[in-house]
Amino acid sequence: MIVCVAVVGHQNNPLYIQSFTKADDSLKLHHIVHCSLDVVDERVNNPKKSGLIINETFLGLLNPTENYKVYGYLTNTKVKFILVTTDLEVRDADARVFFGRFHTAYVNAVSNPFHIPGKKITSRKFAERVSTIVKSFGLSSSS
Amino acid sequence: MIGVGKAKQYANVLDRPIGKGKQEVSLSAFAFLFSELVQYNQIQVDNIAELERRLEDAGYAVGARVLELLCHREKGNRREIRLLGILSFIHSTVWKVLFGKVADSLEKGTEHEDEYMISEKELLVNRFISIPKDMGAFNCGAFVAGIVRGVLDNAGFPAVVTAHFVPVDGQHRPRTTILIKFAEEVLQREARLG
Amino acid sequence: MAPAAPKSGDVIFASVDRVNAELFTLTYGAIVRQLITDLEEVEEVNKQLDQMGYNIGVRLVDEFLAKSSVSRCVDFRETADVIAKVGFKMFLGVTASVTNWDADGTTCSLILEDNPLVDFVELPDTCQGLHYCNILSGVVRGALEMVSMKTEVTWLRDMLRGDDVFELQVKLLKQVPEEYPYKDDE
Repeated sequence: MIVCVAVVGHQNNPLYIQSFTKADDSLKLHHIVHCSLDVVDERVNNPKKSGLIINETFLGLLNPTENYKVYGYLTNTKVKFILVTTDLEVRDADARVFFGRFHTAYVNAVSNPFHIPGKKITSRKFAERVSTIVKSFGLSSSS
Repeated sequence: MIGVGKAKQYANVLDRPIGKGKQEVSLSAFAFLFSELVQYNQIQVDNIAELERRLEDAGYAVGARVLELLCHREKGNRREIRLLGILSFIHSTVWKVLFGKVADSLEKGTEHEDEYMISEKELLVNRFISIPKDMGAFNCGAFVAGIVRGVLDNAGFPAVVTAHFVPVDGQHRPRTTILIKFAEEVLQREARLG
Repeated sequence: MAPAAPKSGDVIFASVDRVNAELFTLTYGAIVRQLITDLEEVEEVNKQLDQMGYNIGVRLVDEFLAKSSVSRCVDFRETADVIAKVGFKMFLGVTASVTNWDADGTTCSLILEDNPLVDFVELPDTCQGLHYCNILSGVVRGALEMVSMKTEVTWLRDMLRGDDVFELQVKLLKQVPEEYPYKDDE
């Protein structure tokens, strides 16, 4: 189950963060997102060491902790998407499908003339869409 | 497209792509709209430089969104990290989508290492605007310069971008050159990448 | 010499120079944003968009008449039909339909299901009073005025406000007789 998703600007400024748990652990989840940003920077700045294809948007698994798996994605506009899940058996393919859909929702939201680049995403449609994407996670990676 | 607009059928609504960008409107419709943009801004300012700056701002907003749209749609989810890569992306992909053709030329400045030029014999926005004599060197291409700056800036290549008329031998009308001067950090990073 | 038969909107649209709708959509979005920044009040933005549309309508009508080979419509009913089927198609690539005629044939509605101005647009809470497409109502008003029809054009339904279509009500206020096409006052 996805417990948190985040969109983070290129100066590591949060543009959108949403947790999907009943428990009051959003602070902890925000902390996990925050820590993962350093991993993203590390990967992107040292592509050779991390064995990353230098310009792929999908960054893969960032930092597995005991209870969570964290995946990252970096767009052309240096915006990071972070996905935190409690599903430890999650497949990369599912994460890729998730980010593909998430990216589409993101592009739609920032194409809105009322969105100001670099500012928080306040679109209700985006929030609704993200929650649908989160619910569908791992269900149909057959595409 | 999400939200309003006609919805096509996709097995999974979440996989519906963001418009293919194949829809069109008439050039006249765009020309009328653009001309209103110029006229409205002309009333807001008292000099040409300010008018060009405002048109550039409007273009920047377009460029920033065009980058997001095209990267997702055309680039197969690869990030562009090299200077020449992003320039050729603008010269070909962005130009083709926005103006229906690749730009006439992309050249490196001969005098300065940090300068590049995209030239167009007849830039779309200069095709239907005739500039009154008293407006001197005013160039509607400032709007396109703004688009280019919007794309570059948001892709992590900050630059100063300006539009200029350049006379062409044997031609009545000058061509428009979009001059791109990259920020120092961009060239330093480029040098590091080798 | 018999006048050329009016051409269909599809035929004309296929023959004119066209540009990518996204360039148009995003440019319009940039204009609306500029107006909001400059004018601050949503009502003022509505007015300015309407004025811009009016300016366009006044200039566009000649091209419209020339390319469509439509001879001047004297009848309001016929005119509304031509705007919907030929006018919208020729410039925006979409067709409108005409409905909701009142009994005396002076008020009708243009219905747009597809509108290239609003792709990606979502009104923020601070702009709920904004008629985002107000430029279109101005265009219709301006163009009709050039063919001697004074109209009042109002949005009745707006997809950006949750309606299922865009509905633009066009009300004929005064039809200046064709013999006197030029206003002597104002």
